[in-house]
Amino acid sequence: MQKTVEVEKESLSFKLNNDQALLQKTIREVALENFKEKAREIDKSHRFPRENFELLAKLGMTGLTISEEYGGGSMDYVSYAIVIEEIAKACATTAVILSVQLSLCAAPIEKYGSTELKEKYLKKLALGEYLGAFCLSEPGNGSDAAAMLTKAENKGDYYLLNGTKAWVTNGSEANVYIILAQSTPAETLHATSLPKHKGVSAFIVEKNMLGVSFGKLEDKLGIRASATCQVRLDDVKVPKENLLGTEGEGFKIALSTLDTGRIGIAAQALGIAQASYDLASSYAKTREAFGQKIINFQAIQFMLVDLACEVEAGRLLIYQAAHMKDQGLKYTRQAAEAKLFCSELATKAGNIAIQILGGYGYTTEYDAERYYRDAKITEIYEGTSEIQRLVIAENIIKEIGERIGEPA
Amino acid sequence: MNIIVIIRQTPDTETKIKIGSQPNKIDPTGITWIINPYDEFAIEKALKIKEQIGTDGVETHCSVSLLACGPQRTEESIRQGLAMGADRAVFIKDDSLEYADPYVISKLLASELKNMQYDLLLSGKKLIDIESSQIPIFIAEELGLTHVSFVMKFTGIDAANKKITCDREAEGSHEIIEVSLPALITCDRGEDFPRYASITGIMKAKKKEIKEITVSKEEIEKFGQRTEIVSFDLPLSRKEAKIFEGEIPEKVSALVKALREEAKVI
Repeated sequence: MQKTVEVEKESLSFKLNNDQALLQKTIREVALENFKEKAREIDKSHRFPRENFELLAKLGMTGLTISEEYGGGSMDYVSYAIVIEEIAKACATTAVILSVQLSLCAAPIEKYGSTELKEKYLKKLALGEYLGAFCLSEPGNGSDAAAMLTKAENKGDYYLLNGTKAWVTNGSEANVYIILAQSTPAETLHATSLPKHKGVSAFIVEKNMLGVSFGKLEDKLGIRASATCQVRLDDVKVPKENLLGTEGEGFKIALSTLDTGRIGIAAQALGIAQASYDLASSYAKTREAFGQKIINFQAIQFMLVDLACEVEAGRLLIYQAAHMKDQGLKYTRQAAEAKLFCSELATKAGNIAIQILGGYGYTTEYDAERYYRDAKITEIYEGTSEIQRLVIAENIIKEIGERIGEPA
Repeated sequence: MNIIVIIRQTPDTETKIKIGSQPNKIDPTGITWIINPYDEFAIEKALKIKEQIGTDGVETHCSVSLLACGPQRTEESIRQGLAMGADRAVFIKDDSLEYADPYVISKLLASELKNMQYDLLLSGKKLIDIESSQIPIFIAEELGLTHVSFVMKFTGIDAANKKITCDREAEGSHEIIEVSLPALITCDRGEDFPRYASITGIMKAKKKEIKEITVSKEEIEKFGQRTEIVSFDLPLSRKEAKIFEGEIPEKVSALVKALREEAKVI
């Protein structure tokens, strides 16, 4: 009897599809022609590059992953990773501005928001009429997010928010903020022995709500133009319909939001690493020492080879995580792996670029020193490298448990 | 008004051209292919006309089609043109067209254009790869159309009376030329900056038609290639300039000596 062999239609492919390829070509040109030169200036001046955001809005990039229904592009997360990487190659600040807009602000509204909230906020975010931000950390707690002190009291028609959020990207420039706050009174938590994180809720807060104010701009090592500052909430009355998801669902929302965000930060880090590699390799090809081009020395070759391999590996990790998200699979571990690997790679690549450029790399005449400074934050925000390792470990332990039939 | 923009794909301007294993071919590895930049200006000009006609209230219908021929990879450039805002495209797909001469290509495109509706044909003033300006002009001849070359901008579009006014630079002055449609115009940059494909443009482009046409080898041969590329040579790298030091009389005599003895030109 003859057997028919089922041939799987889609084999593993490393080729971008037509839309992704066109998008990559377009955003590469946009970033090179409009953001690259300016990156140095805004790094020096701390000036928020509003015109970059406006150009991205005009091209529809501010709604890239938002669904068509709400005026977005309905593009997949591989496309998102491509866009963030290409922008970061030219300007890491502009890349994080867009990454926060899409994955930390728009994505949770789309996933957890009511139809009314989506109508009200998503459309404006998609068109770039609104710039978004996300507020989780506080001056006294970062990785230990559940220890937050910002409070939301349920007053019936509204919630009363009080507290201070720290390290907010797009901080003073944004129009709309996702704010995480403890909405369960301490005595209730205590009486029900509910863990703190189960009492957290997420809210959409607008800049012009009474009681919202901002701290001074942080003077940072890198990505200096992203308007990072504290967001202060002083008796802010937030309408009850601005609760995202349900009461107590905030921490879950924050964690799933960060899963997506990590694809963006990994892509931003990869863009910095690629730019560092591009600069260092082209410099090595032209710079002479001891009577020849320095690229002929194995010492230089080995540094570049390591970077070339790792940049490729990092990109595959990102595409894997993004593709799994696009397929509706659980991708927490893969996103953390991509973010951990690429962020540490970015700092290493910036460091190597400076090393290869020598004295020139240490000056602002070249971009190497900025790449190095811009890279470091990717090991810290949206979950430090240590938190990524914890996330990966937790998932690995679970997977081992499943494999050997023991509960985690 | 129906506008057709004839586009070709060329290597990116930053490509380092390498000669292939055969001396009359270039090595395609690592080449990024782009829409010939002057053809991209033509697309931009066509889209501007469309926008203008759409808002002047006289005639609201204006369509922009693309016509291209070449190997499979040409499709990327067609998609980019559609994402920029062109409405549809006709793609004559054949790998053998890679090194076809301008005469054959213009014959082929003209024979396709005979089946298409148009008022205005636009293309770039030249191809940046082989620096050829022949194809659009050949097409105009083949179709018996008026043509104006090297146009910077259109100063007037009269869709109702089928007339277009062109502005082109000529020896430090401007020539203003009014032509009746149908006509073929080759485009210079002018003040145009080709628009980027937007996300909306990319999404819409998915639903736009690319009509693919294949031609037989016999059909192409029938046109009869008029020129043949025998070989490519890379330009010689320029020698560094020599600067003479010292007082003027010394420099002059050193220069004369060098011209006589080293360069052997006097």
